[in-house]
Amino acid sequence: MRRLPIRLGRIAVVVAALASSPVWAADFNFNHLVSNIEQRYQVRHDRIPFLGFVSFCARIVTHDGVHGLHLAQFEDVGNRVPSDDFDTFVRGQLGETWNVIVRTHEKATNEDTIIYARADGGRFVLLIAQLEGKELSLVKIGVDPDRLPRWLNEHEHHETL
Amino acid sequence: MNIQRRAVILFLALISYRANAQAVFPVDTSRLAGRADETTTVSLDKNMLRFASKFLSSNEEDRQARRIIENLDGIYVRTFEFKTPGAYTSAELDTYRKPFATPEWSHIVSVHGKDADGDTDIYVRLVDGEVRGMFILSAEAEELTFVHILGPIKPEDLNQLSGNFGIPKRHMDKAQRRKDEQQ
Repeated sequence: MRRLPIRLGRIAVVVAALASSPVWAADFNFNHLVSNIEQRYQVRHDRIPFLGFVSFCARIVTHDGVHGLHLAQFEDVGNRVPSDDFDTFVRGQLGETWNVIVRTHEKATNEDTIIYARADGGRFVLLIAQLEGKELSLVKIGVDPDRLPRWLNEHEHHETL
Repeated sequence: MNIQRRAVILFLALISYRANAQAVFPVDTSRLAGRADETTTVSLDKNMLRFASKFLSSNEEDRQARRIIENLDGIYVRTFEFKTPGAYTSAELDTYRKPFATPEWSHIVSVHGKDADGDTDIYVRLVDGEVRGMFILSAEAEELTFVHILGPIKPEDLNQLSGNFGIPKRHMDKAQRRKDEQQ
């Protein structure tokens, strides 16, 4: 019994290491991120009806090519969401297993698009943030890199026939 | 080995994994970002390249591109577009070329116009006689593009990659033409 605390310590170290590794890290909670954005920037997101159904349909239609579609739209954010601060904040929320793979900025329209990605076992999860004028859109989607291209190719093939 | 030591080793291993995952871009382009009308940054490490390569089509050209990127460790692209010419000077371009004036890098293509419009430089990083990285600087009057490719790549492979992963096609075509002329 005296060895129990040591065993628990070892288990805690292993669990902590696995949880922080890229393969085993738990997926972030989209709703939690949206709620934290609302709190930080004092903005509110609009409810989008039937989004769960749309996500389900996307999964069926793409033969499991995409999954876990989440979308949040914030309107009238004004100048309350500076893109650099937003990027730093979102990176902090997502953790180090995520990478920014694409970032664009257009000065004339003050439009920023940031695509975050992480490998999740055999799948990839993308979080796309778009800041455009007074609007902020956030989309999270899981992609199967084998099934989605196959579906896209089939789709393209049918269209060209 | 005690538990604390194991935990420290595990921690260091994770830190080094993450440090390697994020490659440092060899030139500092932060000053350009403030002046550019449009800025695009593409950062694809090995994992993301593998993911992106799945979206290439099944035609012969894309099959070859997939074969090339399977061995690459990363592609990093930065593009700055300006509405009017003159947003950067030849002297400024020289500062971006400076980090490659080392024995580690070889300057294999150099196309320089009179007013820095249409300049293209390609550098390769050689390790034991093999190309292990490539850096491309392409300057047009209203656009500056920097491409950093990590991993084994041959200069002739550029044609297959251009047009994909954020690597602009027209710059590569132009550089390839000039390289053919030089040979």
